[in-house]
Amino acid sequence: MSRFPTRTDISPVYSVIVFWSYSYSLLVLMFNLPSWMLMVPLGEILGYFSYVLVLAFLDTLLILALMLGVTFLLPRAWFRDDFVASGSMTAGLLFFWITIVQLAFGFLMTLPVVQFLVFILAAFISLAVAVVIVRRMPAVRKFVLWLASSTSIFIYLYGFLTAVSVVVVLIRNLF
Amino acid sequence: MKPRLSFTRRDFLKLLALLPVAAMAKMAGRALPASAGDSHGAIVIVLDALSALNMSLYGYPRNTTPNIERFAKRSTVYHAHYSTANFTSSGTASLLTGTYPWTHRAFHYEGLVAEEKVDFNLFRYWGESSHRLGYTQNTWADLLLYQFSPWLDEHIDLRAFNIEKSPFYTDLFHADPIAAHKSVDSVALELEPGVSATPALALLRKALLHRGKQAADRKYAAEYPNGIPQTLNDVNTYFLLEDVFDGVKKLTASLPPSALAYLHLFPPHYPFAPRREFVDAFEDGWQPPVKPAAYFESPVSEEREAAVRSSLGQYDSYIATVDEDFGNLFGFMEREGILDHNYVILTSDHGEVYERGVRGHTNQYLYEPLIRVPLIISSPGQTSRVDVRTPTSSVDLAPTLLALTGRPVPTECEGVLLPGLGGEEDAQRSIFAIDTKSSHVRAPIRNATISLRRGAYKLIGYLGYEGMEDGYELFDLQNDPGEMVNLAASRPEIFSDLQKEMGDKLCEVNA
Repeated sequence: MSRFPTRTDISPVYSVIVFWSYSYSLLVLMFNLPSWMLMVPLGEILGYFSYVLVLAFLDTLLILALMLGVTFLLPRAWFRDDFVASGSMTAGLLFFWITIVQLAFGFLMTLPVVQFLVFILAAFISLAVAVVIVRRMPAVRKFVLWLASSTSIFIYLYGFLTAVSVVVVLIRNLF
Repeated sequence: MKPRLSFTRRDFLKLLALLPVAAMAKMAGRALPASAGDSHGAIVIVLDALSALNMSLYGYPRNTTPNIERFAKRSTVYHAHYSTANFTSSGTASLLTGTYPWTHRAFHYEGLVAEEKVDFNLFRYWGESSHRLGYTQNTWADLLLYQFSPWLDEHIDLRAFNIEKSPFYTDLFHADPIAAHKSVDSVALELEPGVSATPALALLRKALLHRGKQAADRKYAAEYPNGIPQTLNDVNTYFLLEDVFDGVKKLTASLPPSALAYLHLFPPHYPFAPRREFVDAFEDGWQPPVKPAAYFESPVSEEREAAVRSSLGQYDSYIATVDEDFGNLFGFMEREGILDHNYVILTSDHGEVYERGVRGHTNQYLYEPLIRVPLIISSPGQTSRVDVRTPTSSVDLAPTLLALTGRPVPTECEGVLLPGLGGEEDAQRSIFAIDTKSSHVRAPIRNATISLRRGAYKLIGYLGYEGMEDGYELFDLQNDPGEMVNLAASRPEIFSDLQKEMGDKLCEVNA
């Protein structure tokens, strides 16, 4: 278990994941809002929001699991020992790359294997560079730690919304 | 001489003897369910996005539908049959309710029938005493079947005959499938165009689907060199066409007498996946005539038109593939006697276009290729072909089936009985189609493309589009079936007459 970060270290990193992930989910929901408003009443739209927020919660867990998996696999000194700063820095960047790959998935699958591997390599290099930057540049490190600390509020805010959403989804499916 | 009325004792006894017979007849009449005037069933087969104009049955120069032509030899063939809309939700809702989109209000992609109109559906009208089955591969049509599920005895899962059966809205959220589809499948895990609200999960879903599809494509490459068929609309499941038709065979064979089966298959909808023998079947160099640009398009360059037309051959090839499987289904139904006990209907929910700089059907146009769909109805015991050339509408199907099977036709139905099947030919009847995806379901229609076909003429109105004045196109379909020449300016009397009718209709439905 020592290869994994402590719960205290995971918490600020998770809050950064929650911040990016939920904010993006809400943005996409807002993007869909006008078309839903043409079709269904507000109550139903809130039901749709509930489903998406529950999925957003699972999305954050998946990203966190991915990061913990990487932490487990890499030597401790590379990522585990400075998990709060390195993890918070890479969390946003990882979310960015996941979003890009997901958006361009169809295109990426048509690329020749070499080009596809170059793309993936570029993503990994950017993540590695981000870790190096956060370790070598105190100003960046300070900013990242401040961000991790500041976004902890979102765990409570989005956590509450998720709890309500889970209840709504359960009610809609059980009763 | 005045006739003499005589009523003998013998006559009295004769009458008395008839009394029990009369009483039994009355009782028997009461015992029969209201819907049992005709014990025949109905099997409605919908092939998604099948334009009548690409079928050799209707005069298309490529031999795309030889098997459907065999079926037509013992059927009533409607040559000017119109869908009410240019996409699945609206067109399917009209088929199943017998009402125009301005009544059922399924205006949008993933649209639903308005809550207060859900009762107006063919399954309810069919009655509880007969079996009612619904199956579709198209998610948007499946949402409508979920709406009508209180009146369905059997709602077959849309992936029942597919290869890919991974869980999504129908499995995880079976009690709330419509909301789950609209949020989970369409937004959280959206596949196309890809702006998903939960990117990590969506990426995982895409990767798993892609991996499975690639493996299936490789496995069946000999049969389907361009990849095996698949569905779209956020539930990209894949399947073998023959498996789906085999499933449909089983469904039709298992139907009890007087049942209603609605079977809505995804092909020949894009993406096209023709079988090997049809992949190059139409590499014949034939080109359809070049048409003027669609109303909202700028003049179409040769390169763009060539790009648009490049898909036409594959669309035709896919139609021919589907036609072959339909031929097998037709043979099966013939052998099993299913055609002797059922009305079998082949139609589509909307068409498809590859001309005028426009591709597919996700647009706001109502040109003939987009709304002219096949309608072929085989009646029990029918042995010869009947051709009906007067215009008809998809809203006519529900009332016709109800009347043919002895059921009352509800007043809510906006269609009439089809000519040749209880209705009269009316060449001057007005047939409408509408595309109004920007309208609110509970507000008056202000922004729409509307087409009105009456007699030989067809008026298309582009009404209320932002930043544009209302515009019209008038075509004489008798002399110009390809809609090449806009007569709006040169036939002012006909134009103003049809324009007034269109305007009056819009006022009426907005009232």
